[in-house]
Amino acid sequence: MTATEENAVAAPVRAGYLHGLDVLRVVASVSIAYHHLAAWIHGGRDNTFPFGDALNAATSTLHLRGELSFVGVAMMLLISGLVVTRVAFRERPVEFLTRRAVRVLPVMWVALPISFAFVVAGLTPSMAPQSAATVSNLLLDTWFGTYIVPGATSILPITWSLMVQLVFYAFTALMILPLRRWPWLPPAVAAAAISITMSLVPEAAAAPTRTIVAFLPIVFIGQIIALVRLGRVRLGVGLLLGAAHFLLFIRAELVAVSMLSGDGYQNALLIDILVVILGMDASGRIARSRWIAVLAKRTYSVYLLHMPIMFGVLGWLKPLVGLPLAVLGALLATALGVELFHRYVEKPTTTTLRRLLDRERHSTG
Amino acid sequence: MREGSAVLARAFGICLVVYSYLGGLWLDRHGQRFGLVDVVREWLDRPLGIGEDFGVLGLMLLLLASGHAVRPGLDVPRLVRIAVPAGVGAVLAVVLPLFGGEVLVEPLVWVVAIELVLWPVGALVARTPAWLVPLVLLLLVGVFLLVGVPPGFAMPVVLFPLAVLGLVFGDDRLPGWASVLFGLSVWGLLAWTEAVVPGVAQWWYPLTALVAVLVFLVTLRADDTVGTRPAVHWLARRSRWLLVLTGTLGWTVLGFGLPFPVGFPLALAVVLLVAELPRLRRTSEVSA
Repeated sequence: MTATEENAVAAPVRAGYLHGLDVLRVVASVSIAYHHLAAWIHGGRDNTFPFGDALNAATSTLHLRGELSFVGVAMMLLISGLVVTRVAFRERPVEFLTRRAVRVLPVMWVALPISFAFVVAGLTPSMAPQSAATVSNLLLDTWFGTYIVPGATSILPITWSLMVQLVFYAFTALMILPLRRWPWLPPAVAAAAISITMSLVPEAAAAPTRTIVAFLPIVFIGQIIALVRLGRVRLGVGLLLGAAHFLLFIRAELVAVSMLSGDGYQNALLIDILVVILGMDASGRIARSRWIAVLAKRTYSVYLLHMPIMFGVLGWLKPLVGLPLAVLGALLATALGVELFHRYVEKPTTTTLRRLLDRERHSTG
Repeated sequence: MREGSAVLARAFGICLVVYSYLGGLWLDRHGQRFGLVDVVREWLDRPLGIGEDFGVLGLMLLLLASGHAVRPGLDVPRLVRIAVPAGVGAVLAVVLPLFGGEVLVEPLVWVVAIELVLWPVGALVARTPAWLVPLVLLLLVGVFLLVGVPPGFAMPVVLFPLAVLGLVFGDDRLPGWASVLFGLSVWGLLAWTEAVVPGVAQWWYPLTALVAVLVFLVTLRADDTVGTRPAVHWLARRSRWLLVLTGTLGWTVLGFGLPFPVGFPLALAVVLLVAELPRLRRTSEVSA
């Protein structure tokens, strides 16, 4: 292959851009989608899934959770902390929080009615029961209220991790000024706050708080990786802060009964941390390839839509054509749905809102 | 391939080995408890699933570093660096028990043995395609598993593939995808070992090996910065001495009957001081 041909498939290395994170984003979103697909198949009676069985057998030697559970979510949370911290050094607090909210919420608000439609049709009982398809639950889900209001049920239960990320964004926005002056301070304050919250909040009394404090340390580990990578925090300090947050994640299991019960969370997180540290600087042909860039841009759409579309199509097609063809149909439908959603919802929404924010910034600045 | 490579991995590995075999294992063998070790077990060992107080993780890091340092050709100075501590360790392991001292031979001896076995491989690496020697070595482990592992040889079968993987990582002629294939092969061998060698499955070695490999690759990238620090360099250069002295002099001092909070620092100090002796002798020769 000539140099020209090579340039045609791989983008040049951009200064400061971590191409490796694009690969990791894709790996994380594929792992999450695979987990839900495999769990759906293995959860059904008379279903056979040789690939899933083989993968479970292989990963059982690493004592990971079945169907790659948690591997993708942990990686996504790490990447979120890593990427957002880099941005926090060049945006003002309100601008920072607005941009993050604009990136996450409007697109989620469009995904919710889509998921609602699948739940109403009764196609996705393993995601949410048909009885959960109420206007009340739909409205509550727009601000994560289904995780807070007793008796409410989320119609898109994957959004819990967005709640964790938004809490992290809000905290980072509050701490942007200290972050620039004393970069070690925000993760240190967060560690103390998480620890106190774990001690004070009774497990049964406040499930969403428990969920947030259990998984927040992962996002902060991502932040610490970014701070060390940017040279803002010395390696020794970074290791200490990282160890504190890792121990808080372990503590979440040690002090809780229902949260994080069972093996496989801590070792998966350790493996993910090491993989992210190793992978983020990758800048080879695969990392710079057009396909990785295309897929990486669609990971949020995959995250939001894979569950309703995949479960809906699987539930509809399996009785008609059998499991193998239903899986194929579900994957194709998810790919098509994600592409349409990305092109006609995610991209225009975020582009328009960002343009508005930029215009406002220039007019005030 | 660089002899001075993987400095941080070697230093980190020997710290884990000393902590595990001078601390954790000695306590277990003598029915004693120590609060700090218990806390580490509760908060790290058990949740992470890495057993034996991270000792095997340390041994794996040392062997990855050792394989990584293999040079093409017969590197006689390297043989001396391996054989002299090994010889001294062997003498101590024989002599100390004669005077009532307690020594720990396994599994520490396997690191030295594998390093000695791997030494002549350098001559073959120079004359063959980069993939051939690691492939043959891993196939030999496979044959060993096929015909049956003799009792007492489970640990070298677990550890040897890691040294081979270090050799792969250290050979610049091999592309990245080939390293991935070799890594998957080692994973397969360890899973096979778990399945066929009695008693191995309880230790979760494939998980430990994966963490060792990832930590090793991360430390390689930090060698140019952290690896240049004096303490790291000190530990890495004396890692073989620290390895053999931990199980011999260290265990003998611990056996003096002192309470563990006193005996452990004393044993550690003796091990560190004696590990420094060869260096002091060389310095005095230079100044003379």
